[in-house]
Amino acid sequence: MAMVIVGLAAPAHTASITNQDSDPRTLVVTENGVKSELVIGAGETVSFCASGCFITLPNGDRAALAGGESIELVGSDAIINP
Amino acid sequence: MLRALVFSLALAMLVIPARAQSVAGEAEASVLALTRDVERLLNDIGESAQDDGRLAEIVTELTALQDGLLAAGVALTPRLGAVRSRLEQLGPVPPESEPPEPEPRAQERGALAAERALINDLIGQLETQSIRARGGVDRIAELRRTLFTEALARRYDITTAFSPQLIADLAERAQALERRVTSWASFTWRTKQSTVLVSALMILALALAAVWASRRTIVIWIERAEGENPPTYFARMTNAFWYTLMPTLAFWLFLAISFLGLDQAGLMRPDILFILTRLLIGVAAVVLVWRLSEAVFAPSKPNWRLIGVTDGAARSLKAFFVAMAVVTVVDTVIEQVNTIVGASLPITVARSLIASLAVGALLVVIAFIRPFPPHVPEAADDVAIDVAIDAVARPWPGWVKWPLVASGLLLIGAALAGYIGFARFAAQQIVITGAILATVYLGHRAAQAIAQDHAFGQSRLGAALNRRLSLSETAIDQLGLVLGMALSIVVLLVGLPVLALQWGFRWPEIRAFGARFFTDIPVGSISISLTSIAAGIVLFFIGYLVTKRFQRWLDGNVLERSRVEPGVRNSIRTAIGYAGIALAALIGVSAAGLDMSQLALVAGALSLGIGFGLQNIVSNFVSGLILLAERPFKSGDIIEAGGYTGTVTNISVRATEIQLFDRKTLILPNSELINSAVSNWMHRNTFGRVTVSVGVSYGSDPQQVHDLLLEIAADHPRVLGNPEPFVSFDDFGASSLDFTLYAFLSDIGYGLTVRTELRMAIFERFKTVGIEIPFPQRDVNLRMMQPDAEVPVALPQEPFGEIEAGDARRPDDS
Repeated sequence: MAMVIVGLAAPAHTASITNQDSDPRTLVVTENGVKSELVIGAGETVSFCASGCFITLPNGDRAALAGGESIELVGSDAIINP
Repeated sequence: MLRALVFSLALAMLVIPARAQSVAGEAEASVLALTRDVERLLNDIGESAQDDGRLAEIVTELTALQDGLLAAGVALTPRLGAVRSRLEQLGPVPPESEPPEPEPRAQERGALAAERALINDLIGQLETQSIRARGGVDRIAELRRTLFTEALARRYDITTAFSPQLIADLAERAQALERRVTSWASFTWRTKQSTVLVSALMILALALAAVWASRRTIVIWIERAEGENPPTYFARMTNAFWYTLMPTLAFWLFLAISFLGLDQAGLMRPDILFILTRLLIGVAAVVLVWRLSEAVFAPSKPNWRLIGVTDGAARSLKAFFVAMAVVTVVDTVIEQVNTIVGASLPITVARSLIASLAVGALLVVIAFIRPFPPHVPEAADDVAIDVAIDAVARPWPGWVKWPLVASGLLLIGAALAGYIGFARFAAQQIVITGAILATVYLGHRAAQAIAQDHAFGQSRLGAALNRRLSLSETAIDQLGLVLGMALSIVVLLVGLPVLALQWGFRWPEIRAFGARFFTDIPVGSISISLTSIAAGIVLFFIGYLVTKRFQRWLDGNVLERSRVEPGVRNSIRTAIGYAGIALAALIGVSAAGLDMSQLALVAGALSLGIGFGLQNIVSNFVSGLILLAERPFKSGDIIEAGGYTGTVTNISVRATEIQLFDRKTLILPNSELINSAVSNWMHRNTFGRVTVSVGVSYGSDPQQVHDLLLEIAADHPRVLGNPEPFVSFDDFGASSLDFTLYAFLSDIGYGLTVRTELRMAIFERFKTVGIEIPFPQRDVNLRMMQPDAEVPVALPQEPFGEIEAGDARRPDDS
């Protein structure tokens, strides 16, 4: 019973991204077919992409997220942990 | 050996790109298929720009396709990560100056770079298609809005609708329908005669069985006995629920089984199936509304009525709801049948006109009935009143009546002015919204009924719970309250989204709103999550229960068997209780999503104010902790503090409870116990001394008294032999020789009893050996003054000349 409630209470599936660089980085996020830019300040962690999205990383690589991933930006590279 | 290693390494390097190529190839194919799907649906939008139903379907398909596009992208993403990390392992292309790298390495790098570019391209394509699909959804929304506005704003000439053309069209459609039905009937009869007969027999048998079964069970279950006193509201409510549900469900089951049976037997043709389905659904809906309004209004059984209206109003309201359902269902069924036999503008206009007028007229009529019984002071609100006073019954309140009239007139006006589309849309919205609101209202009444005092305990479920779990009546009552509240919440949670759906919100929007509402309510810069708060509360209570369990286990199983003394046990239990609750609170607060650092900031800002305002409480709290740790006294000790003497019963965190000997409970703040002197009769040990004072007359032998007192003390079972009792000869008193007996006890808790028993014994023994315990004595000499000086001397022999006064006082007790 309690486990069910705790399970329900878990926050909605958002992906979170942490910029471990000393410079702000810009991502292009296409969520639900709407394209927007997301600027992440140095050392900042941002939750985004509640229902899955496509992103373009600073190094030009693309990725699709189902939500729930955590991404670390190191340099121009990104590590996506499912 | 080395050659083999190099060979296998080279082989592996060849294999990886090859497999990757095939993975990318599959992905390419799926991306292509998805792109084609998007393309096809976008083309479809242009073609069915006038077809609202198809447009709605396309939206659903496009939304599903969005998920498909994302899923394809998500499937590709990990491969991209693998390629990238492999590329990093390989390192950059060596500059010209350095020796060239081995060929396989360069080849692998090239293949990986190509794959990376390919996957990026594919994900890019998916993204583009996702954007296009979204564009399509937006365009459809725009198109549908325009269509809708056009449909509402379009004006029909209703005079032409009722032209001879209408009669001709009707006749033609009726013929077409008849032809379809007869051709199907004759065809099935000719080809599948036996099946038809068997099916008919089976349906008949099923119907008979259903009737028989319902007579045996359902009718008894939902019987509404006519008695003197009306049943409780909760009983009426549950009865109404079953009264509606069971016959309706039985009827639906019968319809569904017969229908599926006919279909399975191959007796159906698609068009007949379509018409029959719509017809049966319509009948099922009407039956539901009929049963429900009968259950709620019970025109002929006022005792069972759920809503306090008069008999006449109950009849009218029931008729109103059934008529509404019939109008709506007939309208819808004719519309559906029209799609089979061919649409005709005059028929559509006439049908919508009639339906809108009917709904409008019904609304106006029902607005003018007088539903409520007149105010009679002794009549309870829910008790139905006799029809005799119907004449002075009260009308609807204005906020019900005038909106009803206005919407009815609006429908009639719009329909007569030719805005048929609008009138029909409005009529449908009014009917369905009304139905949803009525259902929500009933749910709300049900919730209230459950939450009423003792209502739940009297229900079958409550009684069963009472028997099975042997819950107390209060517990059942509280359970009823909780159930009632839960039902209210469920009613709202179901009713509001359904209402929103009816009013044109789309499901994803509602879902997103709901998710936001429960997980993320922004207040300024912070956001509150209801689910997290609920989780926090639940976790806190779990922590609290676990602490209680742990406390009980530790106390009962560990401490008791380790022969720890009760006071220490109490201290440990209390300390663990506070620690556990603090821990549970911390867990709860962090699960609720409150940021501790922000809390610390607030606490810092407030600490000065708290320091002043809560000084005493904090001081008591800290004192309580010191008492628990240092234990100058423990529970069960007899202490003297603040001018009171009593047994410590409980040391809690703010105050200590002391039971005085007159059974009063003194609640003494802990700081008093820390800051001022406390004398503990039982500190470390319960050893103590009692004293008894006694006076004997001057005629007694002091040595004998001394020995007797010692003897008495030695005879008492609770008086210790070592240190031995001791008697002091204190004073030559005014009327007695004063002695004091000192005796030592192992448990000073018996001090009062022992003192009493010693005094008893002293009194008895002194009496038997003839030692007198004197009253205080005083001689008073009175001199009588005579006016004649010849006889100046008072004569002591005269009886009235001297008065011996006895002043009876109890000897001093201490």
